[in-house]
Amino acid sequence: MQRGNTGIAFQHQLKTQRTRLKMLSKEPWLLGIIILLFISLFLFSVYPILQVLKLTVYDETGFQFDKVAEVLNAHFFQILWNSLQLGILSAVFGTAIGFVFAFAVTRTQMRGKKFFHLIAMLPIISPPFVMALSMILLFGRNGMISSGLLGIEDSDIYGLTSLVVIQTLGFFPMAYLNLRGVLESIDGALEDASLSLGASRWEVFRTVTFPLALPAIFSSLLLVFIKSIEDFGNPMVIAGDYSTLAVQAYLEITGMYDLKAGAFMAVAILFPSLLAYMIQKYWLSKKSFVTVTGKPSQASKGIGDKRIVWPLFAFCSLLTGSVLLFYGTVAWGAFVKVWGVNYTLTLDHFKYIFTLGLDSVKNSLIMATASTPITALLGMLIAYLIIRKNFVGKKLMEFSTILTFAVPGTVVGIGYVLAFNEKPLLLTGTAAILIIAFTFRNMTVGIEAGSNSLRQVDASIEEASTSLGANSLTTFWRVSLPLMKSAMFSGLVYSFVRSMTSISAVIFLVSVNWNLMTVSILSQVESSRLGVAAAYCLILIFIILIVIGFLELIVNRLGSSKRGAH
Amino acid sequence: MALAERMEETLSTNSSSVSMRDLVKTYLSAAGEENYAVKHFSLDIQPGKLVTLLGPSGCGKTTTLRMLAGFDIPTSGQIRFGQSDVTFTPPNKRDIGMVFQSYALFPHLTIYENVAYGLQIKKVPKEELKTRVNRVLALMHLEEFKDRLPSQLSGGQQQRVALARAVVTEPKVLLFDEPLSNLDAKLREYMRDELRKLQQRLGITSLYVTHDQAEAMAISDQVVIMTKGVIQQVGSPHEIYTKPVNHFVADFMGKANFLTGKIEGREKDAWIVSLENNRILVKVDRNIPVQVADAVDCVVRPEFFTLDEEGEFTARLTRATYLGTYVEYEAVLGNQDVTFVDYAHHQHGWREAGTDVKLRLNQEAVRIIPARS
Ligand SMILES: Nc1ncnc2c1ncn2[C@@H]1O[C@H](COP(=O)(O)OP(=O)(O)O)[C@@H](O)[C@H]1O
Ligand SMILES: [Mg+2]
Repeated sequence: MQRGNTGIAFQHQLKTQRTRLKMLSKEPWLLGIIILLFISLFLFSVYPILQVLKLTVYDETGFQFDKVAEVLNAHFFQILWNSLQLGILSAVFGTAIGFVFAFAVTRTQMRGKKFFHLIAMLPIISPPFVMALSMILLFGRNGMISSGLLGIEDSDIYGLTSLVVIQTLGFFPMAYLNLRGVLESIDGALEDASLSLGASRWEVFRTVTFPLALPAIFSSLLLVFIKSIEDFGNPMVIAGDYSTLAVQAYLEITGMYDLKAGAFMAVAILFPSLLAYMIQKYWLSKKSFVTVTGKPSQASKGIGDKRIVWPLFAFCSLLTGSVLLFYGTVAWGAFVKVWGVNYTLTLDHFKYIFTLGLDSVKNSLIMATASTPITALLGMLIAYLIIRKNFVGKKLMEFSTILTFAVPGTVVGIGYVLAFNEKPLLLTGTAAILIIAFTFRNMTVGIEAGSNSLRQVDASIEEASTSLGANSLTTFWRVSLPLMKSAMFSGLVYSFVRSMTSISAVIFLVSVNWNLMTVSILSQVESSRLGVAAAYCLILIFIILIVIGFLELIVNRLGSSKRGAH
Repeated sequence: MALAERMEETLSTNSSSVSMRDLVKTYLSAAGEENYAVKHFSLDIQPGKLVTLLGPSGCGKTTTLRMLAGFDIPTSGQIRFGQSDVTFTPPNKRDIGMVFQSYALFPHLTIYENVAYGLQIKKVPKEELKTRVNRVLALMHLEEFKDRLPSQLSGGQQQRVALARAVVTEPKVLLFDEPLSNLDAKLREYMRDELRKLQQRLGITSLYVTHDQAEAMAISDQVVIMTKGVIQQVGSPHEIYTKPVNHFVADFMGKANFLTGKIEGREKDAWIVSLENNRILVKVDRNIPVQVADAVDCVVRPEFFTLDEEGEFTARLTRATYLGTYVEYEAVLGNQDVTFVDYAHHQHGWREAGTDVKLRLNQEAVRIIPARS
């Protein structure tokens, strides 16, 4: 850009923005909503994170660098390294397994694809530490396999190996879903063409399929990495002496009341995960568009060669078998008297929950039910504003909605505690803080889904509504929202599932009056009432499945009532 | 379909004049420069008239239309509906009807609901709404489809729904952005005639955008020819075809030969122009800035020449194309290429390429424009 042009460009921008503001002022409701969104996004997305950052270098007396040096000791770097190591290992294994799984499901004629797919969804809709709990039940001191079958006494499963196994099993479905879309969209004709040119299957894979999937592989690596380093539930249960940042941050704050050290740990998760997320979102997602050239081709039926399909089938069976074993173990554990000692069937654990522990179940349900519609609706509204409206600070709005999603739960939790423990923003200990945390943390997925579906809607449909006299909000409500139905559904499901299953942020925010199910499960595990914990897990998964089915029913009903009319 | 006649009884009109003053719309290019999409555009539309914006793709037609609708706000300039300044009025407050190229029907609403939408927004009482919607649906022969979704209709039917939806609210101004371009040729001609009749009967002030000159000629009271965001000429279809003011207009509206000549002198209200060893007289037009001794281009439509043994011009044919209704010839006249057509080939047969022919020029029809610099 030349010097002269910069001036012109600036003036042009200035004038454009002024005109936009002027036009916006003619829709006071819209303007009001946008301002309200900005304020709440700042308050609940940006401000808490700033609080955490501030705490690391600043206190009442001003900048404090000596304390910084004190915290950044060898111990800290050891923990940081632990987290990174865990993240890298889980990312590599999770992505590798996810890739093979996705390849088998999308590019071959293997049997049982539907079944494999469904089982792979289990870890996605259940709380993170089901795997860890199951690991203890199977391989722990009284483990069914370790002591029961193999007769090993004093089996010690706490540590890195178990963590990697659990996270790999728990997170490979994310990689699978991420890779699935890309592998599906690779045009089979491209592969067929190479085959007909005399390339072997392996060569086709090496020179066509794999390179096309490479951006998605990188993004899966990054996603699993993020998920792994911010994981709180699994390391809390099974890490043993292997300290990780998320757990340590929690222990520093709740155990030693050292907020500053906790903030440091949190920030140490924040930077790598934010960086990975940004690379994933802004760099890789652009690259992977190149591969999405068309519809999945019908011409290619996928690989039918038995020498390829059978090993893949065996692999998928083994994998889903392990997932089923882990979940089955928890289910079983919920119904036996004392795991490892007395396998008599019983309903005691459920009775315990229904008499003593029902509050947290109720609370979780209330919180999730309260925040889910708000989250989904806000997500759709923001998607509409971002895609269809022009206003000053739109990029800023987009960025801040991503922030709470990309920022690790631990950071959000600590940030909320720091930001909202004083008047006039005294929210700690209330239900509101939980609902707000859920809403702002889970909105992003709805926004993304909503944006994607709006991009496919011809903008002139909304303009037609406007030309007929409807203002922007009416247009949103009567035209855009119904057209974003399926995005709305994913927003609802996602936000409900995450509200029910998340723990890393809410563990800082729960209170005596407002305890949540995930936190209850964790405390049951800690006090070694594994049966009760297992029963909780089972109830949780059960609730989620019912609600998903229910949501699907409603959304389908809403959509089909029109079609039934004629 | 006597659609238009019955429409008259159904809808009252509240249409107004439209005035656009010195509209400018600029966009910032990637290089940080201001690009003009529309440049100093001024136009008045009388109440009840249909004006067409005609020009090649990218010339700024849609931008102009969208400024009128309120979807784009002009960088500078003023828009008035009747007496009121609407330059910064939001689109939903402008009382317009718009028919989109893609029809833009609401895919989740039935045909009835699509047409009723505008009246619902305007809070028209239930009973009145029902009667108005049903009447318009009846007029457009859409009654039997009223419970269907748009996706269950053919292109032509969807087009009628779009039109019904736009007129049912009795707007002040009706806007069309290439509404017929998604229909096949036959249906397009049919719909354009229906549309014109409807518009005339309703008397709704309309701005119509197209890049199809035949369509523009067929339906417009006035045609505005534009290119690169600038108006070239405004006039009735006849004026524009017979009195083009520059190369662009002459070329865009029909076919034209541009034959180089020179102004030798003036005789009363006509220029004496020398053209390939002949002198012709061309009426003086104040809009054409030329003077004696200027080199000029004569605009000669292919049908201005006729094959005639007594003709004043001699040309050598280079190519003959038989097209049924007429034969199209390419020839060299002096050292200039010309194209002309012969509709009378049934009487005198057609000539081979390579032969010399005598041509007579209908001099009254010839226009001159300044030569290209
Ligand atoms: N939103 C926009 N941003 C940048 N340039 C635009 C935009 N809209 C239109 N233009 C430019 O303005 C010019 C006129 O466009 P348009 O009015 O759509 O032309 P037409 O409808 O005659 O084909 C084109 O060069 C186009 O690239
Ligand atoms: Mg256009």
